[in-house]
Amino acid sequence: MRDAFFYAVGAAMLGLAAITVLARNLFRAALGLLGVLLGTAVLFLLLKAELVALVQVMVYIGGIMIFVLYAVLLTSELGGRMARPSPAKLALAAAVAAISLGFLGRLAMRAGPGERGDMSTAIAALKPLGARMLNSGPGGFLIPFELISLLLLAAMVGAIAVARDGKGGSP
Amino acid sequence: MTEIPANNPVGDFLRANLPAPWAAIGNGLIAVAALAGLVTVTAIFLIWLERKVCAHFQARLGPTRVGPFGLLQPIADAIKLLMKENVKPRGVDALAYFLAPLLPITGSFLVLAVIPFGPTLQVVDLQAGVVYVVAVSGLGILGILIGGWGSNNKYSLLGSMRSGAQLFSYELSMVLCMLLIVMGSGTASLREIVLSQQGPFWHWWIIKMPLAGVAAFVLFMVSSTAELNRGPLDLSEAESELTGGFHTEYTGISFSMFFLAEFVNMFASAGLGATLFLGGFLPVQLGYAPVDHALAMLPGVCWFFAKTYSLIFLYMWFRWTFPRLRIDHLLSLEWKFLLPASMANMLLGATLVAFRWIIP
Repeated sequence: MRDAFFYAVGAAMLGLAAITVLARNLFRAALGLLGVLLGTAVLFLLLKAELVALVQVMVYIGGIMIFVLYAVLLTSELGGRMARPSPAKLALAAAVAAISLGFLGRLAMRAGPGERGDMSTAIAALKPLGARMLNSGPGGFLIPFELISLLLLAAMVGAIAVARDGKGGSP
Repeated sequence: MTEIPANNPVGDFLRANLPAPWAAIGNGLIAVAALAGLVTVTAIFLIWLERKVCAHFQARLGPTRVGPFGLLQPIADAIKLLMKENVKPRGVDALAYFLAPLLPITGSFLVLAVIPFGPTLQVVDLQAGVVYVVAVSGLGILGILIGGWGSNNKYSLLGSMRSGAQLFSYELSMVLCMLLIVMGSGTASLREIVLSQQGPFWHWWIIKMPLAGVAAFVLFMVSSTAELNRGPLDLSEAESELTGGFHTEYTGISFSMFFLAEFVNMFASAGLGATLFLGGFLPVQLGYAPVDHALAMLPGVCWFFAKTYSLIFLYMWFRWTFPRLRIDHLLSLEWKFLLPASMANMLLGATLVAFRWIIP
């Protein structure tokens, strides 16, 4: 039953991914991406990684997708159609897709046949994950965590510097 | 701390009499049906309450004719809304236009699944309940953005852009206030947060964490008012400037979906406030044994609803007393006051928790 569900979700995700890249309407593409990200959250739930699934929904659906939609709403016309991408772009996209497929395929090969993932006990529960996040010792993520915050801060300051006019007046 | 059982008799009965997978499915269906009933009844009752409260604030009587105290008025309203034609204006994006009204109501329905209505009345108690609440509430913003854009109308687009900005920014300070309680109680499960407040009423987090608790409660109420799109912070509708904002083009059942979601959200958010700050389903205890015994006789559900409806009354009081803010005032209120204040409050709370300066 769990397998059947996995394959159903996987098939739906493939279809939605195809919509994401093939739709000529930018808004449809964004909705397809939304579906794919939700599907990923369901896959995490199948692995019993409850927290990761919730964070996936919170960050990607509640955050990233809203910004993507903002960008779509501000730049595209209702019912507008994008031009077909140039052959050079298509070739580049195909190359990137092939590389990532090869990389992910190698990772997938590592699992033995009939092996089931279960992340409920080990690392993905709330408390152990939180403890590791704020641990500076071996196996802890405190330093990467802080570095990422620094990177985000730099990106924010950069964005503001680019966006405001040179005179330094109020926007 | 007394142990409170989490299973209720209905669930136990099914588990005892059905094989395991069917019991789980049956219990799930019962839970969904119960939530659907709760959503409908709550929305209808809140519409009536809103009209009555509004009327009394404005020295009027409100609905009186349909049924006793006008109690049947919202049912008449609902029938009227359902009978109206569901118009699809020319030039709209059909997928976006009809998908959008479903998202906010889905979000508010999903939030209700983790709220502990009583000691044995909670659909599921997630370890990361607070994270879940934040995650699914994103669906509401999504619905508003998609609907405003799909309507092919400048006012709708402006309204949805505004409310996207508003909901997004106020969510920050709301989440920070919720995190404070997570920090204090050491758990993100809503049931365990309630259970960490057992004892007399000064063990509720609003008082238990000196100063920081009250401050977090006030910040939570203000930012959740904005999250709910309610006056005085209902800039996304703003009928005086935007003719209704994101739902300008919506009629009939599609409009009522947005409307329903707003009222259910108010209930969910007040329930969350009661759970986090006011002890949720725990009875009010005054620390004087004979009175406490009498108060504890009332079941947890009654206490939950009493606390939740007090907060709902507070929301209505805000709405009918304060004038509406302007959009730039609204955003500077969040970014220049509420967010720094909730960060400072978070720091204060962390200090209190670290040094155990919490009322035992």
